[in-house]
Amino acid sequence: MTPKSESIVNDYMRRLEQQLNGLPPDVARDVASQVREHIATALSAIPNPSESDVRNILDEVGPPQTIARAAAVDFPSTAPAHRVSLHTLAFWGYVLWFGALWGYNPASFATMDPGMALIAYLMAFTGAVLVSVKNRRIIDKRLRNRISLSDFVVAGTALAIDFLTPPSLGMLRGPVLLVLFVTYMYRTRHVYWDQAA
Amino acid sequence: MEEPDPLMTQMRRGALQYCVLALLRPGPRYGLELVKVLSETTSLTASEGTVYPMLSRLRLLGHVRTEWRDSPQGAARRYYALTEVGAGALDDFEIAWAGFRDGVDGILRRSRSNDA
Repeated sequence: MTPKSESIVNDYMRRLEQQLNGLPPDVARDVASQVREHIATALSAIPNPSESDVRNILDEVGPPQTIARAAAVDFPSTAPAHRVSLHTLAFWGYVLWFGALWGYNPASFATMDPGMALIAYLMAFTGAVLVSVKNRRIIDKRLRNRISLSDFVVAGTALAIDFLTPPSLGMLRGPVLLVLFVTYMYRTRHVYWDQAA
Repeated sequence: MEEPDPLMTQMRRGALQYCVLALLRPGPRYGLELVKVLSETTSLTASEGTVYPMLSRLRLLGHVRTEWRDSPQGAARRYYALTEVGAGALDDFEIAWAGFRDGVDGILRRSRSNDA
């Protein structure tokens, strides 16, 4: 694609994003990313697309205002808009869990500073609140149940790692927990982000 | 195309949502494919892009889920698939639609004849 074609697409996307401003941010982002993918897929079917090919594709996609008007029908402004996005809840919930489990060291529990222990408990509790709020926002019931179960399993696994790691290998606890949570967040990212694989 | 009557727009988009679900009944499709079939078989979409807000809504309702799959061209594509919830909603719509269509057709037909 020529730089000119690229700037035509970027300009179109900028106008679309502006028009979608009135929608809940999650929805606006979702719509824009699908339209962007539509354009990319349509372009990939044409070898060496010219500028007029690009303009034809954009004509078929339609004017940004038309898409925004259609979106306003599907998402009337009376629909509750969530101020905190799902992926923000998921991210901070898991980060708090990781922090709590890392900070709460069963091997040195007896000598652990009570303040530190309290912070670990608070983090675990806040993380659990965020995770359950997040799960309640998942609309598809089957998906919600599956994610709730795997949240539970992952937290249990992390707790088991915490307790089963011998004190001599205490240094490994942090990295192992980090790998566990990062892998889990990565594997479930489509639930919250639905962005490119 | 101008849409003078907002109720007409709503009805059209409402029906179109179920057309999307019906097109996914045989199996998952990617966005461009879905949009092309939809605009070829129905005159319901003036601009292809207007299908995407609808897909966002259907996904939010849990009627459709998306998954990324590799394409022959290399880049991964978002595929839309009907969920169990969506399949149930489509079944309900099919029944309701048949009754609604027959009712409207009946009134329209009678309005043209003398026994209205």
